[in-house]
Amino acid sequence: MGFVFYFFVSWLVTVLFTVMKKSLSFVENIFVFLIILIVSVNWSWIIFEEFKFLELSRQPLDYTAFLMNRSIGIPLIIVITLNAAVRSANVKGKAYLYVGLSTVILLGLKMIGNFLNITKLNNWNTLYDVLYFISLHLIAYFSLQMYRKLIKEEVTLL
Amino acid sequence: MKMWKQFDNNEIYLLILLTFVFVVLFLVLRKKIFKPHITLLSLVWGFTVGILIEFTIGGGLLDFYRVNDSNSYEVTDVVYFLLFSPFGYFFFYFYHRFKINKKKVIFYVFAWAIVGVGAHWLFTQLGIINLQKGFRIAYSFPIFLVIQTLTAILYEQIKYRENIFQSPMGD
Repeated sequence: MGFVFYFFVSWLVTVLFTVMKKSLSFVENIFVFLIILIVSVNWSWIIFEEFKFLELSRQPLDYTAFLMNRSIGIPLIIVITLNAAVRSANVKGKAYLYVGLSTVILLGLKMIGNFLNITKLNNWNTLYDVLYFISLHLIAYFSLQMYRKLIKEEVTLL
Repeated sequence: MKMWKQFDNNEIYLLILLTFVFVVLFLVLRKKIFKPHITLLSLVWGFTVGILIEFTIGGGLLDFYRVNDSNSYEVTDVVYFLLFSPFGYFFFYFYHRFKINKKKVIFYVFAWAIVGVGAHWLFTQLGIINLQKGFRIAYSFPIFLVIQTLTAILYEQIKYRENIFQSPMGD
């Protein structure tokens, strides 16, 4: 069941990202996606496999579901949010609303993972997840700012 | 997370390889073919693909190989992942240098997949990675084939969308 659910979520966010009106260029979207992917993969490895704060199912389909959420679901949701937030940067508070909504969705996906026995909390507080998901949004935002600064400097130099 | 379990031959070989690869990268970068943001993207691409594959098939449920001396995360593992980074750039660089087109791309991707398998074999010989659970070097060929194909698609997509070169002709 977990596999079907996370496959659907991964498919849905991929389609949403493909059809949405983007505020970031192709290379900017790829860059931010890769940065979030690096963080997501390392973070999940450290909390699940190194410190064992959470337990991960060893059932192949459940494990694959987790991998899909880690490598597709989480990074793409962050990138979609960033595109939406940048587009509405002029509307006061709207960007924060998007980040809040995205954090709730990511948290919901995590909780469904617990409910479906894909993950199990050992020594973990949900507040850590909230802080982690908010941090991911900040990392995405600052990565984009840094990347845009690099592009801007090229224009000045050339 | 620890620095390393035991600093011995595999860590030394790893540092030598990393130094060599990055020296080559800096020599190639002096030619200033691509715009800096494209160069950065290619390096991040190489690094991310390396990490994604290592943490997907090299650990967790599959755990087909062990990087360095233990299955836990060591700082020297990060050094190993850094080794992948310049290859993202090398792929872009030679794609441009060899003027790869629709006819040549199959051979180009195939050649890089062979290079990848060769590098994997070298890493096992040097004790940087240790195969386990019946995984064989040949099995990494399809993985490299997919990665290099995706990298070629990425390069073409970026080139189609914007001017990626520092000079108009990319020379």
